[in-house]
Amino acid sequence: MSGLFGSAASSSANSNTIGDLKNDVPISNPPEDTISRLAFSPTQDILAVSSWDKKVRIYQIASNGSSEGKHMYEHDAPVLSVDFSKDGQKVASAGADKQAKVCDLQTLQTAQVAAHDQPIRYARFFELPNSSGPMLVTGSWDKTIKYWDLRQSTPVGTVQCQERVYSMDVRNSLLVVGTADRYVNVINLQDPLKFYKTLQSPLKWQTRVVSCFTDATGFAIGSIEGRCAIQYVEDKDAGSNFSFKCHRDPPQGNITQVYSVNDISFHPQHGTFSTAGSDGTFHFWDKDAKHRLKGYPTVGGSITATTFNASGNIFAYAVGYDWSKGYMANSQNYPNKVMLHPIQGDECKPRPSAKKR
Amino acid sequence: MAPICRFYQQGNCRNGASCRFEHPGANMNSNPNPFGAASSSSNRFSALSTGGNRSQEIPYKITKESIKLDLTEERPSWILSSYGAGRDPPEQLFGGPNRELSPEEVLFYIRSSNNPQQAMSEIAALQQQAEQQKQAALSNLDGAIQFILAAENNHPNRIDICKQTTPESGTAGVFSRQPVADTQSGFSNPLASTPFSSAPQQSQQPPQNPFGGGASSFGQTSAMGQKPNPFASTSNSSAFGQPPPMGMGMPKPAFGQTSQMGTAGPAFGQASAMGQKPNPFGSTAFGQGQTQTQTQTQSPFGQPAQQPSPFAAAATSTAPNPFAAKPATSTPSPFGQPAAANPFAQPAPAPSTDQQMDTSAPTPAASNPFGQPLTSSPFATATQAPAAANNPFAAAQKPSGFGAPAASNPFAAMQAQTQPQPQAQPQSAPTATKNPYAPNSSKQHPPPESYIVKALNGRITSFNGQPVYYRWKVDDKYVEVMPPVDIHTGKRDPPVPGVLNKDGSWRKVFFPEGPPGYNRDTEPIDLGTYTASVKAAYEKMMARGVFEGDMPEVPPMREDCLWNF
Repeated sequence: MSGLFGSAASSSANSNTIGDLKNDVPISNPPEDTISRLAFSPTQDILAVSSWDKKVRIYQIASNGSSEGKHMYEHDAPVLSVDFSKDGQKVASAGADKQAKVCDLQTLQTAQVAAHDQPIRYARFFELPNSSGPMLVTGSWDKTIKYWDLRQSTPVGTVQCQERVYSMDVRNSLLVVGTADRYVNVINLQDPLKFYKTLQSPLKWQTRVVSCFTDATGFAIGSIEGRCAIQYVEDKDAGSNFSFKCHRDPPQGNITQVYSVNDISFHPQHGTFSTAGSDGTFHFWDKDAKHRLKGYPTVGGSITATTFNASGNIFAYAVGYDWSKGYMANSQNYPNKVMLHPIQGDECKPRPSAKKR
Repeated sequence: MAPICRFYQQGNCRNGASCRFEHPGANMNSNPNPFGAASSSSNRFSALSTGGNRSQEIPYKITKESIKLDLTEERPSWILSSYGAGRDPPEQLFGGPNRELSPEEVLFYIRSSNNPQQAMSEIAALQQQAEQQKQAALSNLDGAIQFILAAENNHPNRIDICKQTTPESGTAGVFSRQPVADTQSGFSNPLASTPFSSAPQQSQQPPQNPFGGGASSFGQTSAMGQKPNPFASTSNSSAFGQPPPMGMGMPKPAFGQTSQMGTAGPAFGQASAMGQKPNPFGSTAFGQGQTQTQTQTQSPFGQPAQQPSPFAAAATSTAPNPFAAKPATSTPSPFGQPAAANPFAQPAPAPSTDQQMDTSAPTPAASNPFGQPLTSSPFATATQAPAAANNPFAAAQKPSGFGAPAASNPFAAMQAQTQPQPQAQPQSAPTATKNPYAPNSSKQHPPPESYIVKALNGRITSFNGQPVYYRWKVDDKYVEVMPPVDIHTGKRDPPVPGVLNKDGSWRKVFFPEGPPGYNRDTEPIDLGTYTASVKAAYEKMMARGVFEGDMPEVPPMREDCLWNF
């Protein structure tokens, strides 16, 4: 709950570092099962939601937070990932049916564009400066990453990873892939068939999420152990790397309940970022000043996915059981919803540290 | 052994070699950790640096204490995880394909299995093994550390795998925070000397250079003198601008070939673009043979849309039909929904029938003491609540599909959440409901089943809509971890259910079995003092959750109270 990340400065300003959720609005007609991924369109306030109920839902979000379902399509198995193309015209989704599909929002036609031998964990659009259109990169439990140009049924490139792909993110030319066994591979998409860099995760336990900085100079990595690390890609920036604990209960006796960091999202303008965890809380952090900007009370259930909208004034988070306590701990009444949190004032703006460095 | 020199630890001892304190120089300083720039002293936020300046320095910043802490007090709740001690060690302490599974993999495995029970017990067995492995490590921490250090001599170890791709001289600066002059084309040329392995895997294959004596990297050859986009249009014979000089004749294809493709040639687009189409989908045409009913005649993406709004109607317009670009006469959406239909507002016509999506009229509650119609949406109050002054989402919210929201009574919402799914809840045999109110009372306490959800083993899983956690009482505190049995009696009290407050603290549920029976002694002695205005005050409190004005000085009747806490 309360992050242990902090210097004395933030504790003195404790009263205004706890945010409130009273203005958060739920999405109407949310999915019926745990939500795996949220994605906002880069051009408008349209939100795509992928879920374990095998469906992708697309909602229009109005400025007052109300939502209206616009389209829905299905996969043959739970959908694990969803993403928008840069022009906001297409939605890509991928999942346990080992396929990736693209839905054109103009025509609402959906087609399969990719396939793997095992479930696809992530699908992301990317575009290169001289390319002829958006391309898709998919990361799968079959240990490969494949690149697709959406027109052929075969990939235009494949990269073999050390282990199953557990997490992936793209920003500009930066592609970061976190695999099982705690490897992290960095790929320069201008030279996409090899790893630009491979490193061991700076965290000790299973990688849960990797997320690129807004300026694509590095990435954040979250694990199941209530810890997050900030990692710059270039070796010469490595002095700025650090990790911090988050999403942990205050220790009771000598047992500390540590929760999984399920998602990390970067604010598109400010470069600050959010972490969200199994404990059902989310927090905003400033990685340059190295402190927490705002923490929020528990939302009533684990948070499985988060995202900011393109203008950075809405933070969407999905509440649902994340299976971290095993299969049997799920219950019919566990909340399952997507909430829209309006970003107000400075709550997500970087704030220089008050104490001298 | 003399005590360790503090100044040397900090990096500057003026006495040098003639210092009378220990300078532990052997492994720490002469082998600077090339991966450990982050552990510099200015980094006080590094949770990984253990500051282990003790008498014995283990490389990679491994310490017994930190391993012990990681495996016991600060262990994550998900046990099927790899674990690496220290910083960039040559080997993890736990890991590998059978040891590490993500929650999604486990869930998918169970759900897609023909025999979920068996799948669950297989997972339970893996968890047991993981637990045993952990105990074994804990009981032999020295051995565990030796195991990690011994991997230094096995190759390729993890350090080798990382080094395979990252050149010795450091990364090339493409993603640096300051602009670097030599990266115009976005190319670094880092691999001039390092042949990269075809398969940086954890398996024991030695890294091989698939090209024999040729160019060192596929990517590099295409990079040489090529335009920056490696994904050149597929109308070229080569998807990468220039076919690599060694062609496709290699017996063991290069980096990136997936053996699962089952094709003879490499997986790069070149081969397919040249006419031979290894088709991983196993069917003749893209999209055929799949279950999606997708028209093959047209390009899957229709015409490239130029308008800013993907829904053709301006997003801000109030026109109810967003599918203006899709009149009913055009090719129907593959999911069989007519254009005008909002798939969310009705039970969708053909494929997606969603019983759970109650957007119909509100279902009246059977035993709602507050007498207000409940909507079917558990979130009605949530949307109602933010009618506060500075709500940027504005007060006039009307989430579509919902009826009149209930009043801002948190109890109503909780009951609404449990009402619509009485069948879906696994319930134990209904407990004999005690009536806490007087026998002649006109009111009824809400039945326990409406706000208490129990699993089949009798444990409560949800109370008032909140997840329930069981804790044991030890001395005066409630703890999550099962305490040992009492030494004298050999017994241990059963755990009690509770819920979490908003701030995360635990709060006991006092009436987990529902309300108690009627107890006449707790009724007001002199009913004359219970006037109409007192009665009205309590009624208002029940409805709104707060007293209007002052609280009456007369205690309430039992029938004005609820035992749902």
